[in-house]
Amino acid sequence: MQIELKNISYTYEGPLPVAALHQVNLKVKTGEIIGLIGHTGSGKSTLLQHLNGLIKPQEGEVLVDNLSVKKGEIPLTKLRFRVGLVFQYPEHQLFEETISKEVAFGLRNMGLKEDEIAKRVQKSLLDAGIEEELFERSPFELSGGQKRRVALASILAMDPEILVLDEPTAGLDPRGRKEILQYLLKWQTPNKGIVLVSHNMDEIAPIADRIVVLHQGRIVMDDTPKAVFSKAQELKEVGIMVPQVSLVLDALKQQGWSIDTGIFTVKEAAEAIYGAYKKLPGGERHGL
Amino acid sequence: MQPVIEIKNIYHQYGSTEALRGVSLEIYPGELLAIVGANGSGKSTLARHLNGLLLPSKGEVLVKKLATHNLDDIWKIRSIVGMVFQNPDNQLVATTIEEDVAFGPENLGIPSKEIRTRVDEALKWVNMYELRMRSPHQLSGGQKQRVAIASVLAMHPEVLVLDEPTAMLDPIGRREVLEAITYLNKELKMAVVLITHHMDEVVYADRVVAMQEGQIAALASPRELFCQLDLIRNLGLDVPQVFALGNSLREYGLEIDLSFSPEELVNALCKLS
Repeated sequence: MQIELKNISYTYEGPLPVAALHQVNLKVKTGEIIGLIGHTGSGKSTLLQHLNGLIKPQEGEVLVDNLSVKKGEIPLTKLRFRVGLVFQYPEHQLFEETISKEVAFGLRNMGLKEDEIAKRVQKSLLDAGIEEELFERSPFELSGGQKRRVALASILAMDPEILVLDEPTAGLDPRGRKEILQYLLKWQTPNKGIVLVSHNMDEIAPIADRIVVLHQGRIVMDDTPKAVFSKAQELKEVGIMVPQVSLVLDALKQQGWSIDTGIFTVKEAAEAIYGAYKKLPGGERHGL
Repeated sequence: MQPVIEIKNIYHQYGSTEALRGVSLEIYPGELLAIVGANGSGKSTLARHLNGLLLPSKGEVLVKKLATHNLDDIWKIRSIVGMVFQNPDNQLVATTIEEDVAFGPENLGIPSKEIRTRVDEALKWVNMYELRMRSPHQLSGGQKQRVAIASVLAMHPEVLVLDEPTAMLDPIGRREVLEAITYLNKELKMAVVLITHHMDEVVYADRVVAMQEGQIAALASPRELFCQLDLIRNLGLDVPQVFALGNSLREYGLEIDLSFSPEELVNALCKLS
């Protein structure tokens, strides 16, 4: 599946019109993880809502596998089942009496048969790390991290091809953040795609295939994490901090160390720094 | 030094769950104390005991020797210990920022001339004075949160308790709020209790309390805490990245001082060569 945004511009009308997107071109495909970053007010949410037809394009076109959303070549209901959209703090939208009913709600809207619904509820909750004895409990009895995973499971049960998430780890503790990311990575296969909005560069850099930077409604960068995060100065100008590990590697490179940048995990960075250190004149002197 | 707040072996029960199980802690004037722990470890419950929003089922909390369970002293206690919460949208009540900040001192019955001084001063402390005539809905999250802090400061508390004040903010908002917090603590010497999930905010603290299942699992300086990797993992926490990188490099045998800042780590590495 491929979603293509072609020359999308969008303005929120009203007494003080706000231009949210300007001439945006973006292709989103299954098989990749896109990290979408940008300061608050950069147009991220508006862009996300174009991906599943929640906002109809004012100007430009949204093409889903070359079919136009504007011209009604693809029905919106169908599009919304294929592109799952998870808003910020999705647990605020939980409403059902039990966890299993919560997940079944969307599936029933899809018109699935009861036995298929039961199967999917079971699988998606177990995949989300929710134990079976909790299924008939109220979702409101769960911890914050568990509630969020139930909310995600209710979208994933619908088996979307592309999953769009707005800050899925916001407000969680470090363990909860890791669990959510691992859950998403496990779900993502070559025929699934993810668009992930995050403010946490340390989190997004190691997992994204592509990083798209939005600034004042325009896409200002669209490249590999390595290429994007090597532009620390330009990112700073649009209000984005580069991952801490990159700062260290870049600074060492500037000091003349022969070191590979574009590494975002602590483990790999330590290996790279140690490797580069050994090659320095005198590096062996310390008995290393 | 006399502590401002003394927590003496407190327990707290929510229905059948015991959220706090025997917590003792003293909070001293002028210190920055961070409280960390996984969701559900009892951090927020503990914070809400500091000014009597919650009362212990067992044990007691003394604020300058006044017990929070003594209802007669509760307003005195709340003027000493101010609280700021996670969601900035839930904390602003008035139509302009300065009215919002004046709301607390007005309720304390302070003369209006004095209120004027306090409002201006509090807004300057958090760097929001220029925007004082704006309406709260025109502000960013970080700005709103700084107004919420100013509203508490205008009541001249001795301790400021912040319960995940940056959880809902973007990186720029977080930086603004952290700058305000460190200014209040370092320049005005105000005691601050900061509850957070962001390990890079813990770096500024004098002491860190790590909570686990309603008990204090560790009480240490940030450096001491983040060196104990097994403990950190066990508590469901994380080590700030630069510090973790330094630690891994020491495991390779590089003799460098551990640091939280990228610049210091780079300097340490360059000195080796």
